[in-house]
Amino acid sequence: MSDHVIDIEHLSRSFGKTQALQDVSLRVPRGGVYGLIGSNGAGKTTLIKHILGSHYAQGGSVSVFGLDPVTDPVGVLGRIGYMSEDRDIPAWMRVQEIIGFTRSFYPAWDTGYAAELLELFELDPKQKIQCLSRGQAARVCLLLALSHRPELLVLDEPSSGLDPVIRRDILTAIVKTTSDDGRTVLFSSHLLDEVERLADRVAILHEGRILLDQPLETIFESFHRVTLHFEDAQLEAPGLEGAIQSQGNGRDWTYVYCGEKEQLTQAAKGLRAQIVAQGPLSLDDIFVCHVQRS
Amino acid sequence: MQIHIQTQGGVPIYVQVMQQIKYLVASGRLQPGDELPSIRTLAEQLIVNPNTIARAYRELESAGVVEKRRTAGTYVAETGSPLARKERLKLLNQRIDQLLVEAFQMGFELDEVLKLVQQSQLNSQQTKKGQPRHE
Amino acid sequence: MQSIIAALSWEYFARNRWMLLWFPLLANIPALCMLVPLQCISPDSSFMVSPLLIGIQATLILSIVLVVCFGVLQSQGSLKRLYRLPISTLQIASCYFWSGAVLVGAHVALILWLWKVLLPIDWPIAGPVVFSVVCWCVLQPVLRGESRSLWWIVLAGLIVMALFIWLLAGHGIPLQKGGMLTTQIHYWTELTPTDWLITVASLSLAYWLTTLRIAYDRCGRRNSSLLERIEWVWERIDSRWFSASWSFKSPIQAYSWYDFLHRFVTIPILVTLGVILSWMIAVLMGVVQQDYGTFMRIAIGGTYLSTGLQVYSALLFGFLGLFGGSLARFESPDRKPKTSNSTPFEMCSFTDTLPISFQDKATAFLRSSGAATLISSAVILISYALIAMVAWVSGDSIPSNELKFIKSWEYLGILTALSTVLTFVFTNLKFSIFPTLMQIDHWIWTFSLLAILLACRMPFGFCTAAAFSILVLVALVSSTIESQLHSDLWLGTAIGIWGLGSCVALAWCYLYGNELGSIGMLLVSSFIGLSMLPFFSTAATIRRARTT
Repeated sequence: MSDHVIDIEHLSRSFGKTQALQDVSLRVPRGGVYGLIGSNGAGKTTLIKHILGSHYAQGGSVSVFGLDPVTDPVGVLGRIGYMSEDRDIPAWMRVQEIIGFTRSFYPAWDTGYAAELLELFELDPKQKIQCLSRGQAARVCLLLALSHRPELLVLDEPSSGLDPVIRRDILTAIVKTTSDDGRTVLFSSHLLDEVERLADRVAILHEGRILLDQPLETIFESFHRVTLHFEDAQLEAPGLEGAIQSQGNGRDWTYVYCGEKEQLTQAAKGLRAQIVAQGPLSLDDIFVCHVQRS
Repeated sequence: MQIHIQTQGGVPIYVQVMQQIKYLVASGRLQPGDELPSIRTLAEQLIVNPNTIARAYRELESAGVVEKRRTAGTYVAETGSPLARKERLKLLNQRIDQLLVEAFQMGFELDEVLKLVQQSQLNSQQTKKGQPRHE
Repeated sequence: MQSIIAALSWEYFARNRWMLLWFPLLANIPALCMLVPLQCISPDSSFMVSPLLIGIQATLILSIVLVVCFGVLQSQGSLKRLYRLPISTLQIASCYFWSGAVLVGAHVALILWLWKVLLPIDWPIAGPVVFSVVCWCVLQPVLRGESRSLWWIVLAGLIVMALFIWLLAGHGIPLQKGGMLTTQIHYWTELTPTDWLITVASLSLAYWLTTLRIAYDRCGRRNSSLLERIEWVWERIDSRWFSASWSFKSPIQAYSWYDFLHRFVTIPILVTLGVILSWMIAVLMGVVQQDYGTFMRIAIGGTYLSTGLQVYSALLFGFLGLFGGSLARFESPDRKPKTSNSTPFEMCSFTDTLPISFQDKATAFLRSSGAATLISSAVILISYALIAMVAWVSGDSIPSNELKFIKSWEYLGILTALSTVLTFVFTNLKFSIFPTLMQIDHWIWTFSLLAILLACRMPFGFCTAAAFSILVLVALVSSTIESQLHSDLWLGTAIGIWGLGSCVALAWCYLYGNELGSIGMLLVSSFIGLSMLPFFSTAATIRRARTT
């Protein structure tokens, strides 16, 4: 068995004229947390639907646990815990009914764990889902996704529109899932704070393309904000090798720089400029400058 | 043990954890032989990836600040005090570097900076002396 | 004020361009299904004078009125989104109440006028239009507001029943002995002063109640009416006894439980309600009029109508399911913002991500639709059996002179069997019949055969029936092959279904061949074929529909 839980190669997908995904390659290693970030409509949900087998691959291939999610729904979905952004569980069921209903599909269902979560989340088993608040419904979804202790937890924008208390529940669940050996979490989000806290590896998806796919540490190590001071006033930013964004005026120009520090020093010397400030970049800044550049 | 994580600052989380544990040891709030929380507990408490905490502990261990014992658990290293002093110096040096860089960028000379440091120390001593009188 | 009303009207028409076109067409389907064959059977339009036609007309009017009311209600959407606009409650209520009434009236008038042009019938328009407007208005206070539980629907059903009696009274039916089955035809040609009084009184009362309910709803007060209390008690009972700890033996069982409650439970409920109601009315009228014949007539007639209700509700649910993708958008605009990538077959994404194989899901679908069909048919058969028992105890048979169209028990049995087959077909419309029949290669066969038959100068009716049965046969054969290729079904089971289906079809044609005629035999065989189709094609359709 390969080390990759999800193996997507050169995936393309279009809906009519809209190109939703374009030559996306993504490998999610076993264990750890994979964060998928992108603005609204970047194709995160479409990508996740491919992993679940709800979309077939128009170009390229998708394999999950080495299986094809389209042809083998039992083999793939049985090992995935999924929580969708919409949280569209049947509204007419009661909480205990939907737990009993969902349980029958998963042989690995852990009744004790489900009961524990039910208590932890303070859910009333007799209540109907349509009477639950949005946060409680999200907790029910989370319970359903976790209780069979899935090998792969897929969360599509898990905390969008939820209050901090419930977001904390969800994030704790992710932490707990990863502390168990060999379990993998893939979650998409546009709340970069969450991604920064939790992810081992991050992929930035924008307009159907992967702009960046690296371990979080590498990203932090390779991106800096640098301010250069030039001897003469410049009309436009002088080209700096490795810079992906620049702004400023006159003698001072600030660059977002990607690369080693030594190279930067040399490059600055080449431009006859002086490095006057240098600092780390937050994930927010990195994301925004990637999106703006493309 | 209280650690606070800030995202958005661009400082990697494992570095933040390392610095804060070092500071706790250096300031004596963590004594040699004290047990650190397990990776899992700390990860759940801070809501960060457990691998991050593991990395922070690993680096602290190789720096000699903490040690792993055979009976599972991570403890503050017994030989802490000389190391702690070294660490303290290192921490202080970092701050001084920062201060100097900013001072030079603003066009102050070293002498002026030193004068300012002495001045502010005098000020703080006066306020310290002054406080008991008021009490 | 002017601009708000104008903006609301614009929003309404812009949002419902297609709904307003679709619903009158949909409302025409059952009528054309019934009337066109009648016209084919008696081209000299002698069926016009049949007393049976009054019953048909009354039922059809009720059904189109309900469909149109439902359509307009759906198209208007929830009023909740208007609550935060700076307009008064009275404006909201009157805007939607009266515009809806006008739309319903116009729709019904249009449909009836269309029938009058297309078919050789001479039905009145004014009476049904007034009826439809009253129907719309009286249902408003019940259907407006947030609480749409079962009990509100039951109340709406009772109101519709009361209105139906008024409609029948317009035809002069329940008020006299012998009722609708005399040879004389009473259409609702003239509106009496009583009718006008009922109209005006019910309109003003309904308007007042609607305004009140919307006002209550807008400020978030729950009116603790009797209904709400019943609901509360029911909730307690339901949570105490009906939802114990649920555990299912297999995914199939769980999924069929879900699917039955999610989609089909309404059909058996409606049929059971219809049967119970007709029994109550029958006993009541029998006792009041001290007439055994009246009891028999109403009991049999009511059960007979429930058979129609079974087929009709299955058809309506089938069609609503087909258009579900587009209808869901209008249910509550604030709850479902995302329909961008939805297909007509898209299921709820939660159930879509459960690990269940296509075969098991198909079995679950077949089980739930089969259960709905069999339960409702069983209720009807039990009702007939009870009537037969009463007849046997009292030593009398069916009063045949009054029920000319019901020839014998055998006839009722056949009718129930036919309605069972049709109900099963219609409940499987969404996941099996429609997607399978809509494949282009099947249609190529059908059209080529139709062309050959027409070239041989066969009668048109025969050609159409033959083409239809060929379409079914081709679909059946191809989906059988497909099911074997994907091993969705054991070979033995497939052979068994084919054997059983052909036996039933052959038996039917052998026994009733003379009465059915060639067209009838072809149609009956096609429907039996259609009822076999789900066994082969459901799994394949789910496989195709899950992935887009």
